[in-house]
Amino acid sequence: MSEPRIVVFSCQWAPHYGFQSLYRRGRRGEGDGVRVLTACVGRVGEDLVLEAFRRGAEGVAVLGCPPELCRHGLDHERFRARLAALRGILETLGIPEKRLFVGAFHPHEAELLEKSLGEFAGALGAPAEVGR
Amino acid sequence: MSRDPLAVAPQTDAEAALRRALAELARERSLRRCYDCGKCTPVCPVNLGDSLYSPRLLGQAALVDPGPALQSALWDCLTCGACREACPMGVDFPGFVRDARALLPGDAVARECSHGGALQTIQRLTADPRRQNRLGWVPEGAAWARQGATLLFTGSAPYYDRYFDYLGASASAAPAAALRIMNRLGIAPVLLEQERSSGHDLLFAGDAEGFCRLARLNADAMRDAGISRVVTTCAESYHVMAFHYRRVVPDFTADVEHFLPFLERELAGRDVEFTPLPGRVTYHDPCRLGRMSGILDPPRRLLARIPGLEVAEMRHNGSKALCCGTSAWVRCGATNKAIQLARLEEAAATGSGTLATACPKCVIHLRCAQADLPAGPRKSLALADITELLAQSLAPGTQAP
Repeated sequence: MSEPRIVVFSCQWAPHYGFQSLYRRGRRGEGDGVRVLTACVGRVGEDLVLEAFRRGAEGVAVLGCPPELCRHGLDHERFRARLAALRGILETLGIPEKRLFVGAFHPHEAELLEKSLGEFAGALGAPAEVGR
Repeated sequence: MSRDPLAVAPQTDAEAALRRALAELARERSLRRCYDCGKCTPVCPVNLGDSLYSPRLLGQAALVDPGPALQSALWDCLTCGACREACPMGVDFPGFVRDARALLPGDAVARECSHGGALQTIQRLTADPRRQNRLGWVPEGAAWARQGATLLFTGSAPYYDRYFDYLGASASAAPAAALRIMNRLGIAPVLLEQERSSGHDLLFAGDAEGFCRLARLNADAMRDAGISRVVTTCAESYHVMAFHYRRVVPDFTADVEHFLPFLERELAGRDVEFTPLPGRVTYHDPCRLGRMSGILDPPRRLLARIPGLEVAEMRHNGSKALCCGTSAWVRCGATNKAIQLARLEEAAATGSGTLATACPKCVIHLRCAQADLPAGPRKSLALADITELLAQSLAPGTQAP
């Protein structure tokens, strides 16, 4: 099995519903990559994102619910609160900003989800150039 | 089939092999020399917060039955060296702990890393060949070079600045201050854009392979830049580069100095004026610099040269200094917080307005402990690297040479 191109951390609620909609229709987003379901993106910290890059991910996407749909109160804010620090660490490491995608999607935004991930994957460029 | 919770789980071959390896390491490290005097236990900072914790008993367990309980307790040790300092038989329990962690399976190591292992991951990522952007901390107008004899090594400081922004702790303030002082003395040190973390945390958190990789890469980068002397403000980087790099990179020949003895030597014979800094300060010896590297007097002598600055010692000082509570970013919990609060209490009791130290992590750990405190003397204590104080006195408004 070849190494994953993209690791997608996805909340098990709204964005996961979007993925299910896509799969039910027999479609598979080009940039789906390796999908890691989480109880909430509040559970995703910089540790997991950095570890994904260390293991060779060329891009990491963190997909959460819109704030008004968060089942965990204000938990979705936990990842956002550390986002500036994470981006700063990636920048210092020389990992381009485009290699991290952070988004929030309603359950009915399956097409937008697919389009966004496709654009993210497309922007990464040739694997050999990524992060160099 | 239901499982009997009282049944003793059989040992697998891997577990049995691990126990044999740990017991053998304990014998190699002369843990058998222990004659049960117990001097190690009351000086152990972990024992402050966990009265059952005892290096003596753990050493015995390592020799007799290094099972899961001993393997777990290995992560409580701060490797601060206080027990070794107190031991009349010279038992190197911290050295045993450091090397024993490397024998444990990788998942056990990963489980024990605080912050989800993010800080170790960052250090491993610095080994990748991509180009880092690690010199953002360099003050505008400062003089530095890409090639030369003397390197100012900054290690993980630029990453700590990013990671701990929520604490307002700047790890690169010390190297920036050192650079100002060096410029004031007419020295433009080398700063390496492709420098890696020193590997201290990987070595002490059981990733010996990762440590070797970083040491090799740093040694190669230094050789390519023509470095013959490495100066650093980081106590832990100093310790591993001075005492461990040659173990794994035999051709690493550069002299390694902590910035404080380096500065003392550079100041000798020069007529350099110290600007007064009125106030009282107490000095916290980082374990890696003081007890473990023997650099106890230079920081005190340098502070004593600052006019108007009164230096007050804490109850535990010098080679008997209390650890800041955490090391190598592993297993930080309630016991560690208790140690940190005890250290802040000792500092506040001196009546000092500032606690100065020579390790960015000591500042980070103590500031983290302060964050949870209510208003009071421990909370209001300013924390700074001693190099920052020296720069305020030696190089106020420094211009590049």
